[in-house]
Amino acid sequence: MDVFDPVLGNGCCTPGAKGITWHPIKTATNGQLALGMTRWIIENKAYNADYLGFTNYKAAVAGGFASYTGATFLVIDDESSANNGKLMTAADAGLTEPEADPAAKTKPTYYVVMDAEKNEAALNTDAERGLIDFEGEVNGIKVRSAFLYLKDSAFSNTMDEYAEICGVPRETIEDVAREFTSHGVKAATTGLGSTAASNGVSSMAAYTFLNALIGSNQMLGGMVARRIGAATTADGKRYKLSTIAGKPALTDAKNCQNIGRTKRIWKKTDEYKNRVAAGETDPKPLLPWFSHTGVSDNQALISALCKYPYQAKIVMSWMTNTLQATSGLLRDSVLERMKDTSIIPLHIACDVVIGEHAQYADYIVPDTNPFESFGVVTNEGFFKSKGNSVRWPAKTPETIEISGGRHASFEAFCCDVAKVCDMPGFGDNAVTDVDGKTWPLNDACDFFLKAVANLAYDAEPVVDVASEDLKLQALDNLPEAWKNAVSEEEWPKVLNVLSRGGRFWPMEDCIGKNGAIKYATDNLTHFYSNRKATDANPYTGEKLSGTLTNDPERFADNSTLEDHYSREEYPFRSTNYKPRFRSISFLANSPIMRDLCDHNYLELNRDDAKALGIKDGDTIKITNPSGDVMEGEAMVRGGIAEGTFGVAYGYGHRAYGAQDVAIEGEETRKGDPAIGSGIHLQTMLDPTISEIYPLADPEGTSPGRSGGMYKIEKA
Amino acid sequence: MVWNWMIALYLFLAGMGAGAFVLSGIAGMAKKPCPKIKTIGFIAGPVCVAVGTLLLVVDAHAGLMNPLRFFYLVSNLGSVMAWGVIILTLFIVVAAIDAIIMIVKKSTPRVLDIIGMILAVCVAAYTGVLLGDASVAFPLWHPIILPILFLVSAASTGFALVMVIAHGKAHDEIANIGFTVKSGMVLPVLEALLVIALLGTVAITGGSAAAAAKASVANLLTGGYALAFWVLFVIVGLAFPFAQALHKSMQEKKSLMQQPGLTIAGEVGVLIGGFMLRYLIVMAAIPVALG
Amino acid sequence: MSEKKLGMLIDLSLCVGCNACAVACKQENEVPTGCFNTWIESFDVEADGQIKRANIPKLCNHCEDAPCVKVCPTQASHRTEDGTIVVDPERCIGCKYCIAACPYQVRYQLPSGEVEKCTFCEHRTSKGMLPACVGTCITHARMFGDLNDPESDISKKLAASKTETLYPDLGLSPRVYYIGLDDTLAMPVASAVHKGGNVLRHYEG
Repeated sequence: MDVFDPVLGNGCCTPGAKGITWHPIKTATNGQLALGMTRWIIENKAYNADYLGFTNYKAAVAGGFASYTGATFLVIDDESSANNGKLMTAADAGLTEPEADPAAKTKPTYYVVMDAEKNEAALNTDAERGLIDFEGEVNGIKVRSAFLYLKDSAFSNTMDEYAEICGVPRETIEDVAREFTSHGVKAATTGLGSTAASNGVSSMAAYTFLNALIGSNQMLGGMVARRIGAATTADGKRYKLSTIAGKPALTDAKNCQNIGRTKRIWKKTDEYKNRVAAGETDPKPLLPWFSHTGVSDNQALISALCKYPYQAKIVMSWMTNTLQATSGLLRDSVLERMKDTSIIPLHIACDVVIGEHAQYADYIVPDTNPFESFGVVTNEGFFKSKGNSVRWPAKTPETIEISGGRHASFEAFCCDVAKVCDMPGFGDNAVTDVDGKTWPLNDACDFFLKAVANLAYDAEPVVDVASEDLKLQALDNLPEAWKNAVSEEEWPKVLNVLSRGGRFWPMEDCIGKNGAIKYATDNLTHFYSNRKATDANPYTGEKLSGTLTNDPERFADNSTLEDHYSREEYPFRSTNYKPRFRSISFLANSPIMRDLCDHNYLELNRDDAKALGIKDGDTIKITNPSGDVMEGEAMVRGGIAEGTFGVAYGYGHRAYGAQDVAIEGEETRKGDPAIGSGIHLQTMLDPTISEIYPLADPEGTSPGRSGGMYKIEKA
Repeated sequence: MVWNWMIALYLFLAGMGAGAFVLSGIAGMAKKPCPKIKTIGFIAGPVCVAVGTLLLVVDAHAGLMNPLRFFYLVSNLGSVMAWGVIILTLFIVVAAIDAIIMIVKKSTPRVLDIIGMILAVCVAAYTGVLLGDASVAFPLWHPIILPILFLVSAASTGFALVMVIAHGKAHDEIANIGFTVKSGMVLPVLEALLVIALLGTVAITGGSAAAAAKASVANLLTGGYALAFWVLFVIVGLAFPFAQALHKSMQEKKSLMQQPGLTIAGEVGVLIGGFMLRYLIVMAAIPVALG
Repeated sequence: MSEKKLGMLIDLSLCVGCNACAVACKQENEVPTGCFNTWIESFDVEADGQIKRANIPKLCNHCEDAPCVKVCPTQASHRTEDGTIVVDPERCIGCKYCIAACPYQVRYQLPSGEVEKCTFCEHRTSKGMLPACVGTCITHARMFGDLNDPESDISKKLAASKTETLYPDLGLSPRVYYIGLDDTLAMPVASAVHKGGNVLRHYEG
């Protein structure tokens, strides 16, 4: 196993672990590492040519794999074509798509390939194998196989250049590439946290492409999906928890715009159209728009703070501390706006603690904590079999009692507000079961126990709970409201699942045919992204590439950090990681956690520290180009790459118990400074945006917690 | 640190009290009688040791809060501390009886004096053996050299205490125990040699304890405790009293008197040095795990 | 000899330094702030030109020849039938002699004055359960059981592995064994040594 990380964590790279190696890498260069490996792989023909040639899922499965790629899909590379830069469609190629299936909810997308056997253009579903290196004409239009775009990108730099960019020796890149491609499909690559940089999207693409080059997806021993579970909180075996009669038909594509400015190309927004109509040539947005990303809470908050693209009249935050979790936002200029009711007229927070974000709310609705609440989730970690974990209250909630014998919680709040607003899906007749009977939804138990019933009946229903388990776990002493949430027949099976804390199918169940995982579904890895290629940067009009490119860190207008600030003056990047003795926002209030670790450190490479005259334990000062200063204890170690400093998240709290809290009618509750110990990473602001906008990925919205620019000196 | 100034003070008082009792016993057997000095030492002995023992009791917080537990103290005769309880108790009792007899009758049965003096030597040696039995954890507390060192220091401080009081209360008898001038020169030299032997032996400890051993010695000689070690222990506690005793001896050869202030200063120096020795040995020691 | 002899085996290649054991122990035994029955020492090391991160769980070694038992005047510190060393809180006077006698420095004083330390979770093992730290270990780095039973998992793994103890030359015969200890301790240290996440020893460079 090879681990590339700017920071060596407490993990599997122990001295005794055989064959596990930590390789330091320059922060925010994962994409370039992948390109270096890809170049070697292509040069040495070490990719699985057989696999890449399959044009559809059925053919790939017949060929012994469990996924397929778009390596064979043809891309129009013809300036004279209106669809230049897009994947070729049937219409472009003069081919006919099959009749749409009237029963199907969505229409399948068809692509065009060069059939390897017949040597003519075909729909990908009409061929079995295609050419991955075709360059020529189809129907008079110049096209190229999608694979060639990755190849071109990989070959735009030499191996030595990649080594220089990543800070990884050339031999290492080659050795790892060789190793990765030497085990058939039984290899995989993935990453965690690496996307939280302003070029984070290329980090994600890195894993996707590498796995695709060896055909590893959904093969046992290879890249297998996790979080496989039953349909529980959705339309399941007993209750249709996703189907709500009278639910408004709101979709991003058709009739709404989420405030975080995602899922829409700038030029397709109403604002753009209106401004052009009003006579503006080439209007620019106040804040960036993101075409191919899902929702983003940090962007949503920034939008609310800037009243752009529209004002958030009500901000509701639940179990979140977006303000603290978005490094770069916890600054006075932002906090002023949080308090300003002309910007955010109403802010409701629902939480168990008063954190940095919630402390600016107008109302705080008490929520239940994990020992007092329900949850039905899939399993975390790299767990390849099927199962769901169930969390159910171990104690009566300590929140205030409200009507109907309930306790205050987010779920109860939602139900009560929905009922006052006459919204469908809450109150009486809210949930329908598979027999058509309707059930009320007034509290968390009404919802979650039905999800547990769905789980209990999935595939083969479980047996009724044993009477010993009833007694041992005090399952015979549960609230009436729980029992009333499901039918009499379902209740003993629900209790069985509760007694086990979930339902977990045997590991052997995941073994499918021909070395694939049993839970494999139609799985396509594109080698050319239409969505990326048809988008352009909202500020410069610069087109994005459809494939993985050598992508340095950028600001919102795609200019590089170095275009604005001096690398000589700010030579360091931050490497931010999830803490061991805290969580991103939690646990600073735990005496045990604080006992184990009082504060976090600013972790420096030994050579960098020496050059700066910094010793282990010194107080050092780190400054970014926006003038933010962080001061903390240096930790000088071999386990840090050059040119970066490691800093764990979850420290440097300003609220969450660190602050004094004044409560009307009570004495001020004194804050505990120990809760605020350590450093909170403060990333720089984007100078290309006139509004307050911390460094973020211009494609993917992720905050630039890793990367950026900093200078370090002794305090 | 495991123990603190309270235990250091107890070690000092126990050694000093033991030494005081021994000097008084010797003074009582001198050719020219020294009843006042003997009384001083016979009182100072048990009083110092008793006060020290009281400090022990206060330091043992759990016992202090639950005093009945102190009755368990002789359960494990494999423990040097259990022996210490026995020795301390016996000494205080015997010495107190001896003192009372001395005060009332102005003379004591010799056998009782000798028993008391033997117990006193045991008390003085025990303080070193107590630490020495924990040497597997704290290599600075050498199990052989440290008890000898503490024994010599006990004599030195005990003698000094009696002399300081005698200057006021029994000035006329001082001449009868002239050997104290010799001992005033010999004991500091002996102590110095023992300290050198201790630090030298500890510094070359091998194995798992090596790092902690070296660190302990460094702590004393050049580290956080260096100032206290060199100034308060070596100079004030050894070198200065040696010089003072040497000077007194030279004066006496010329049939001259040393200035009483200087003599007392020398003896006070010994007391300061004696306490510092215990304090430094307790505080500067570093355990194997932290080496 | 049918008596149990309880011991622990820690495979250092598996310890990832998550500290779940330290937390579980704190909760199970209500250990006061600032004190630990068990803890992890984590630090970078140089190994064959690479940097690795070492994690060494430490705890009371329940030595067969325990100095803490020898020096205790009241016999508060004593050995149970299965070899576990515990402190009888009703007999302890808090003289701290045992703390002074332990080369591993695993003992500490409670606010009430009694001395405490790891008990191998005697209240659990006497009922056939595992110590809290062993039960919660996410990688099964810690193994626990009867060293006198050749069929126990720990005995089998001990027999099949090269193992070491901490400070064996002190002659105390600890009952906590490690796989990979000597190799790890021989590697040059490349960072501060952390106890949990706090600095135990700074990096001198």
